[in-house]
Amino acid sequence: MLTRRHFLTGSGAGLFLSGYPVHGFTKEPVDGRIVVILLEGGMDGLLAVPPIGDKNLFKKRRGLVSSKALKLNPLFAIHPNFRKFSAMLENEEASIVHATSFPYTGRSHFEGQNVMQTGLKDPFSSRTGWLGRAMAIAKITGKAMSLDSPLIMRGATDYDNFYPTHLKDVSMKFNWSETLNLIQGTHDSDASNTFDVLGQKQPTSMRKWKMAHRDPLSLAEKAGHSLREVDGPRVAVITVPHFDDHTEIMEASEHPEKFTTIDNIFASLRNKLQEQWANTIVLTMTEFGRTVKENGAAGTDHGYGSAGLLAGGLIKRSSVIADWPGLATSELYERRDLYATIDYRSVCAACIEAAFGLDHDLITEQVFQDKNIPRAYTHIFGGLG
Amino acid sequence: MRFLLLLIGALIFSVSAAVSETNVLCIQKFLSKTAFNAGSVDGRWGKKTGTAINNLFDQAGITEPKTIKKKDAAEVCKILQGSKKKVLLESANFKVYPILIGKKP
Amino acid sequence: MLYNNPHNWARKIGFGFEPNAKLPSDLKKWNKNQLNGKFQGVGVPEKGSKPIAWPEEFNFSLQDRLKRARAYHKEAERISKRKNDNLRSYKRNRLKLEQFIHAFDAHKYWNFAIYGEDMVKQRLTHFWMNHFFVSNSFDTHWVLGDFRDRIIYGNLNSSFDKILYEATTHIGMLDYLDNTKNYGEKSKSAQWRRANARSPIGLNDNFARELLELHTVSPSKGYSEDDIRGTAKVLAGWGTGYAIHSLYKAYRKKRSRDFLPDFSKFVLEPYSRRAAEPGSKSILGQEFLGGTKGKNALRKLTDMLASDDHTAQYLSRKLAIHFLGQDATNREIKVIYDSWKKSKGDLKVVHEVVIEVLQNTHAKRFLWPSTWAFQAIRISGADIMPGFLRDKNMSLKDVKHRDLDEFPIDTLEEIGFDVFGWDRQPNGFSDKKEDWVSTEHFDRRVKMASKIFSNNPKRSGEEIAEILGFSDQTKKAISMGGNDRAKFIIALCSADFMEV
Repeated sequence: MLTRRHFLTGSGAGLFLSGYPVHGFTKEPVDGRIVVILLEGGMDGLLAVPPIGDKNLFKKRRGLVSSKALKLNPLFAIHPNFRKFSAMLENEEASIVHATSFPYTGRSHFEGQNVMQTGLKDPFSSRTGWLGRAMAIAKITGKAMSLDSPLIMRGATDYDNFYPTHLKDVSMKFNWSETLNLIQGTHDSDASNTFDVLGQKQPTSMRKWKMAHRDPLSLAEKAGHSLREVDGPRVAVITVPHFDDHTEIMEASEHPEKFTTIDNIFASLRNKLQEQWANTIVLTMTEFGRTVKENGAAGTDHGYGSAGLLAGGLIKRSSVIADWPGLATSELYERRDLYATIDYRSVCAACIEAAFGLDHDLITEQVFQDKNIPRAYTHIFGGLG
Repeated sequence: MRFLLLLIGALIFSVSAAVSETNVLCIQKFLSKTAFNAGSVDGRWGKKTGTAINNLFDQAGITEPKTIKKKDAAEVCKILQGSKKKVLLESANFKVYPILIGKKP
Repeated sequence: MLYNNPHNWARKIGFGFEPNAKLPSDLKKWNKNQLNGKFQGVGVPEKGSKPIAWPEEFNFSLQDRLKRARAYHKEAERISKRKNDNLRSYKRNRLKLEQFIHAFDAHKYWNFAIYGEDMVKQRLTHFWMNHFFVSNSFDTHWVLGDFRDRIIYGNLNSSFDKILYEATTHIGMLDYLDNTKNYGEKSKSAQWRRANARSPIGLNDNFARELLELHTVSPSKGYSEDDIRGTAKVLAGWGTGYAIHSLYKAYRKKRSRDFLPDFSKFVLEPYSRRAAEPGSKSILGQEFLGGTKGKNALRKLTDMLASDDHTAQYLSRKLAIHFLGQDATNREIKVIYDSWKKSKGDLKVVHEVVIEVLQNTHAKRFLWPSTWAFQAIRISGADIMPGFLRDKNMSLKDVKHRDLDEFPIDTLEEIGFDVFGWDRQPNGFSDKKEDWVSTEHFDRRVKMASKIFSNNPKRSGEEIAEILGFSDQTKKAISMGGNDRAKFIIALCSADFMEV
């Protein structure tokens, strides 16, 4: 039987001896890639990564633990629908952060999604996103795989969208770039810049049989391709909606189906990024977790702490990173939600540090505007000693 | 004479006990700022304190002392307050639970 | 000022004037009539034809919709038992084309905006539909048209407390926000399940949270989780245990037991005492009784929320930003707020004040893609709208869902305003310009403008610029367009047109 000491010891990894520079030193720029998967609606982290070693798990939510969960270590397991992600865990190129959240406890989707994307504590306090600000500092371009420009990427000086149209019967008998250039001149600031960027692109094909798919998985494939381009984007954002399962959350078509989607997105990105996978970090994020106990409709309501899944070649050693708060009622936030003991901004900051080479202090100050964010780089990207 | 020796002995013992308690407190205070739970900060070396500091050192890759016991408190306190204090604190912000799929325990 | 140009005024508050429209000589009188008049909806039977009165055959009552939903699901269940996969799939798709009615609702949405006389009411309807957002989901598409017509449009001149209560108790809203699965933990239904070893049922706070956060007081009120829980308890029983596709069947089963009134009354207030939470509840310091007074508790709650100052503040700001623009001043918002407070949420008064404030505002509104598209089509006079008759010899009574072109639904999805799309979040569509600025969004506008040009517009890009009083810079840009199509596109995608 493993002792707690043994299972905390990785494969002799020495975080302390990782030899990483201490704070305050400017790093060399890194040619890394970041892919953010936004899980809209509030993902149930306890369903995704059940803490099977916590004796209160089965007391509190027996009906919400998959019987086929794959054991990761004495404390944690993972939902069986994360088959491919589990293979990445086994292959030392994925990790999980648990009992984590952005510093928001209000349980509102709209405030929570805003905080998740701006990276600031107060909702609706910024028109730019944390990722956009980081991209601006590092002078990196990105691609949002959506129709709109997600808030998370705003603030970057250079980024674009991809979401192919299915609009039918459109005549293209006009000079695209010339016309858009003329339109651009009638607008100011962001709108003008946007028309400018659009004018420089080839218009997407209007032929019906070439209409591209727009589901999250197809967009992930496209993102993978794009991130391999020389001088191309190094950041992508993909959205997977519909996590707000207040009812029947264990039904195949609810959370489990979305888990499969996330799993496939990870696998697709790995496949399409090819050699760039080694320089990439993919991370999920969600506005909040869900209640520990089941509600009256076999679902869960809005909560606080959740889990984040990360994968990519920049990870050298797989682990679950947590400061496990426990599931006893007295250990829950407001006696109902998993506590978030890790500020997810630490994870985001670590990913920026790993992929862009920015210094942690610089990131906390200029990207998140909060110097009190603990550094999680060595835990996630520490590597083998 | 015997009485004097006993008195000196008791004095030495109480001083060393106080020093020991101070060192344990030093460790516990350090642990209280990390993800490694030592229970109460009371200067008493218990199972929680022992487990927590051993786990922290394992995660940080510090191999000496090998298995930390109460007698090692002074040495450990020195390490915790030394030049590597900041790095140690940072590494102990969170706990890292390795993935054991496909691995022997 | 906007009033100087009736075309722009009509764009600010409506969808603009089409070619050959008789421009109102007295805008004040026109405004008043727009808010208070009675109008006949119109639609085009064939592409390019003149609009006719919207056929009565295409209006479906809530009762009718629920019966159709029942018939569809009953038949679909029967089909699902077929062994032949292909035949099963074919039959199910065929049934869908026969029974579904939301294509009618989508055609109505487009026709009323493009051809209707009541453009101001249509804009107000779009605003309130967005505020009380109900998305298409498994079953709600059956009833969305009723929600829009009866609850929203039908209450534009009533009071906020009335529209709030009716929106809250509509089966579409109750289904969308999971109240159909919100049982009182001590309800008779829950007790029966426990006594009979069935899986437990109980409260879920989805609708309760959105009622407070999105529909009324907003988070500025500082309500607690206990308030949300209390609200969930008051809501328990409303639509609970029913599904849209089986509401009719469930009603018939329960009627004799609960002595319910006839179906037409029941569907308007689908309350189940058996699923309700007994006992009193406390919300925001007020007590709400259960028991025989349980059904009235919801009305009491919605009235309390409707009259709350935070509701007035929240909605005044929302109205200002939606109609005036993001740069609406605090002074302008206050004028609307004062009218709300003074009239106690009388929407007739509030809407009148919004129109008054609009007349002098300097704020500009970046149009929703839908508003932009409707204005572009209407002002240019393009014949883009497909008719609802497949051929001339068809009778209106014979028109089925399958005969209706998918253009209205598909196009709205393409331009990013998929109000008929699936499973959107209940906060609806954004009023912020930055949420509509992206290369893909603008790509759609350019292509949509080109598509409109291909459908026989009666006004050119230059003519549109002239009547709408575009800036000289924009007029010059239009004149430099490479061909008539390009000029048209430049006009419709210029800042002058996209913002008003």
